[in-house]
Amino acid sequence: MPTNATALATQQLAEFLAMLSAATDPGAVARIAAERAARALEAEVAVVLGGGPAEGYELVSSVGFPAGRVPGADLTEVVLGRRQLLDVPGAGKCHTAVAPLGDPVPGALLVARAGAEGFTPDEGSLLRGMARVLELVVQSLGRLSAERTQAVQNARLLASLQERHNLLNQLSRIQRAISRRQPLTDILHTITASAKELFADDEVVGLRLRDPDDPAMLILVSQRGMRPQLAREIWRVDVEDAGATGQAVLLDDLVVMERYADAEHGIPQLAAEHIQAAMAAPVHDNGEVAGGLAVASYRGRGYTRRDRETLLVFAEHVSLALSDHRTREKMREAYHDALTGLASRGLFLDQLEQALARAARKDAPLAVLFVDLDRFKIVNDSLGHAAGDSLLIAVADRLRSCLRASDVAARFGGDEFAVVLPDLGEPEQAQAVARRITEVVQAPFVVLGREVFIDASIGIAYREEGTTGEELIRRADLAMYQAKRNGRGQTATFRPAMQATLRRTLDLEARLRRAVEDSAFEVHYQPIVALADGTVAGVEALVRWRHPQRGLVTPGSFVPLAEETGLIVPIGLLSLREACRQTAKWNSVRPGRPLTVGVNISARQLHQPDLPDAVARILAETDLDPGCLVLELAETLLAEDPDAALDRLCSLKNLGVRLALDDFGTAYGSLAHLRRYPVDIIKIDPSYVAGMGRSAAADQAAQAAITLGQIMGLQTIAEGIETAGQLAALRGAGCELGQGHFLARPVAAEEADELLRTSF
Amino acid sequence: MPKTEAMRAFGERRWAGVGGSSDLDSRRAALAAATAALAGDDPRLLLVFGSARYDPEAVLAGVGEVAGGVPLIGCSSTRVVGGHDLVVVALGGPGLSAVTAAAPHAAADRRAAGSAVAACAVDPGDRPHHVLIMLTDGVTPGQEEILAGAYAMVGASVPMVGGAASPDAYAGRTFQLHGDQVLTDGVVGALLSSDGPLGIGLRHGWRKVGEPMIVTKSSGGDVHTLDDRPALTAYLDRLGAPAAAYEDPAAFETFAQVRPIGIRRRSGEEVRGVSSPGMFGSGGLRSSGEVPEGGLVWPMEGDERSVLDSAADACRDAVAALEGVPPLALLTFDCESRGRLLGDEGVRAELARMTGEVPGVPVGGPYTWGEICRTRGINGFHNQTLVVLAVG
Repeated sequence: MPTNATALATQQLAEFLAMLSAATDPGAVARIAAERAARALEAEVAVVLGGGPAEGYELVSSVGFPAGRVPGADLTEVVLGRRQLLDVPGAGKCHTAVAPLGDPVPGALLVARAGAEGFTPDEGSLLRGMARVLELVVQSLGRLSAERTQAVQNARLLASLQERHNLLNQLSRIQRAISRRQPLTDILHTITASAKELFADDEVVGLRLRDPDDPAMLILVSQRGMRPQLAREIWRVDVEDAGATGQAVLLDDLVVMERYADAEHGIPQLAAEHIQAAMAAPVHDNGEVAGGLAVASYRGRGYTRRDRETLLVFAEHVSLALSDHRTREKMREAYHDALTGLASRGLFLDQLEQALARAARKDAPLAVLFVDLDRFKIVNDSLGHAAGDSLLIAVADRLRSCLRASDVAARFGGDEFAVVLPDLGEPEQAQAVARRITEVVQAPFVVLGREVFIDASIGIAYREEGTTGEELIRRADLAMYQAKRNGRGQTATFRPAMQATLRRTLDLEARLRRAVEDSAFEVHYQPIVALADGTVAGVEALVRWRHPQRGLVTPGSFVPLAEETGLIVPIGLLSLREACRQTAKWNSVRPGRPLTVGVNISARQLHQPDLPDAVARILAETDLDPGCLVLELAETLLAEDPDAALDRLCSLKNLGVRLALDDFGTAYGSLAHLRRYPVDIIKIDPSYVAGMGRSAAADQAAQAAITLGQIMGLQTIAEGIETAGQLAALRGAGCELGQGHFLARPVAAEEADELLRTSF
Repeated sequence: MPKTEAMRAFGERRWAGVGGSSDLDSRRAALAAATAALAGDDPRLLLVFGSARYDPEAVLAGVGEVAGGVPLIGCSSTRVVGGHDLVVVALGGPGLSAVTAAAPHAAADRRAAGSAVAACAVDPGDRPHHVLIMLTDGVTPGQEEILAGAYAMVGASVPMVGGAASPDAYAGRTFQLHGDQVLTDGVVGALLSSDGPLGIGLRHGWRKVGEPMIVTKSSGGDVHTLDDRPALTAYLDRLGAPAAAYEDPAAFETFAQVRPIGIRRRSGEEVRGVSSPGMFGSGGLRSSGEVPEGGLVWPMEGDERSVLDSAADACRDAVAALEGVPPLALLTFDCESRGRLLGDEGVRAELARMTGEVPGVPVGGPYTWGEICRTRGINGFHNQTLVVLAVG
């Protein structure tokens, strides 16, 4: 965690207060003040000077100069603002900061520090805070000593002691609230409540801050003692009309209105409420005036110097809280994912290393889970980034609900999350947590009013002797990768063998990428035959990878990886373009009915919003009649995001292309798909065809599919015809078209040339 | 390891030597170490560190045999850097000079004792480089007050290094040496002035564990509550301590010796040891230095590697501050708890890491109960830290 300067300032003011409060005489107070100021600001020099510009300054206490060598004249020059740098023996030229001291010790508190940088606004604020505390402590000591000369049982002495005690208590309360990093609003309420308790004669305390959207307006962010209705009425006012507070902001100084009704800048509503007196002090955020803190009374009263100083001390505390809040926000941004509030990768790693060290000490099991959302991209692409963001926030919430306070969850970016599970009683508990996460992620999310279903793939890796945090994350990531390969919503535990598999896969991926760059793909064509007369009605385009070592590789060996890596999109477009070009070429010389060409479209492609545009472009480029292009879609891919799929399919249909439902009969709800989507052709899955001609049941199933197609006015193509028996059975069942090795194997374009020439 | 060992280095009008001995006889050990350390003529300052098992009077007599009248300061040390039982660091030549001072009965008025010793540095003379070496008694509470007294006297005019004498577990005592005087509860110091540069390095080697905790109640070095929980439990919970550390003061002490706390300061964290079981019964932690209420602290932990790395880093920092002038010697003030974490083997490894940074340069110093290093600002008291003074 980086040093948070302002929280540190608060802490140091707390220390300063505690140390000074323990002192019993003003001499000791000045010495302690100088020493503590130097300590808090890590300054070489701190000096308390008495006096003023008129009568001159004299040294009260100093630290940092060798005995007898305090440069009085130089110090005066600094206090009077005539010089910024001070020569300090042993430390060289030092930057200085000065806070004036008022009664009862008029003078200045000065610090000087070596180094290239001067004091920051935060540090200036801290120094001013210290000066205020010094005044208050000396003042109360002075009163105590005067009153001690009277009877020991003097009630005033007791009251004075009580008053001092109260002030210190209230300031400690505020400092603690800031140190504890309570929410800013709580801290501000603590400040107004403390001020209200301390200014017992003032019934109203209000804190106004500049409106972030319009700095000319002041907003009442915390108040005590005001009628709720009135507070609402004057909740947001122009700085010019904001009474004592507004004036304090404009003048950057304490403003006192002891006859409120006659005050030039009073707020009419407050005057109407019979407010008699008010006083306000400016508050700062990083050195800039950011608002004001006011007290007001319904009874006539005057404000003593002590009252004024007390309000200034409170206002300094508001300043500290504001600056601290801002710094904290920045820190939080740096260490947490802004969207989900989960830890960032850096923070996660830090906490993981600590947990690992603890686990090693206790020899306790520890696990890291790597969580990757399945289908997140589809939601993000189809519903937009806002939906994606809402989904991630919701997932983070559910993830948290599965974890204990000691577990740490992080978002690594995108849809990747990680969890460290320290202090596991049994290693199996990690599996249970992973299962729970899978379950909660599987439950439907409602995003922008729509139900969305996703899954989580989870990899688990356990601590072993000597594993580092990075290594453990890498292993969990690897296991997640394996889980993803096993299907959606799966969990896998890291095994060393996964590394070898990954290496092979990475190798394959690298080659595939190169192949895309080199366009090392060929399109082969399998004729689709009219079963009634044996003529070729069309072809199905099938992509092959021309592998440098393995020769032509069939899609089954590389398409899953291409899907996973997104390479399927460029590969798909390559083959679509080539298939269209080739078919247009055949058709340009082919008499009679033109050939159709079936091209497979993958899930990734279907979820590319620009797919219809790409298809239109290719049709235009290749001059293929859109009616000749058949886009073949697997049934299962329609289940992924039905609404988005429907939109896209309609756009494609509008181009004039036709759509075929591939592998018909293999997905749940085939019939529903037929009714819902604008499909023109069904391709009967080879598993139906395989049993035909051998079993009555298979014949009946295939027959049902064909009849269904006929009833719905769709063309039917039987896939995977291997035997004469199957061909005869299909022909008998009224199936219109067919393809399979028995009819013709897929062949390169040149061979297909020959085949097509002879077949019609 | 031989009983006596010597390392020497020579610069322009300056020289340094370190001699170590493990002879069981106090006088013989001191004589051998001093003889080995005296690398040249005109010795200007001797620093003597040895186990409190040695008879300090006999140690002074042994040194006196070969270097009578040479300004000398020293203190007891549970062990000395390098694994010997006694080490003498000698600095000499016309390019160096030293003035020493001592104050007895520090506990009675710590500020006054610190001021009295630092007074020797108020007028440091014309040489361009100075450092005030201070040795206190680790058993005396309120070490920071001693330093505050010293700073009140010299201010920022001279940097300070040093440490607090550590006792011997068997002998159960500490001592400080000044000239021919033996003190306990004393403060001794030497202003070392040199024509050559002096570089200082400071590292601790501990790492913070988890989020910071707020010191919700403390007085001086006694920490009552952290995050409003009894400090002892909060600290042990955060560090995942074994059950025995919660129940048995001795087990707690052993556990906490190598797990200090870090107080957040503007320039980083200030380390404080909390292994004293003085507050164990009331559920609190006792630190050897002040732990301010309202402050933020982290429990810290380390391992052999981090401690050894910090040794090399501190030496490197000290040598870097010489700005190219080759070091003649490294004077080290290493926390005793670091030595305890390392063990005998580790201590030798630490010396190897230190000498690895400055091959051929003598290295020596005590393992202390609190370290002193003030180069910037006013704060100068440290715990569980290594301070290295490179003499160029």
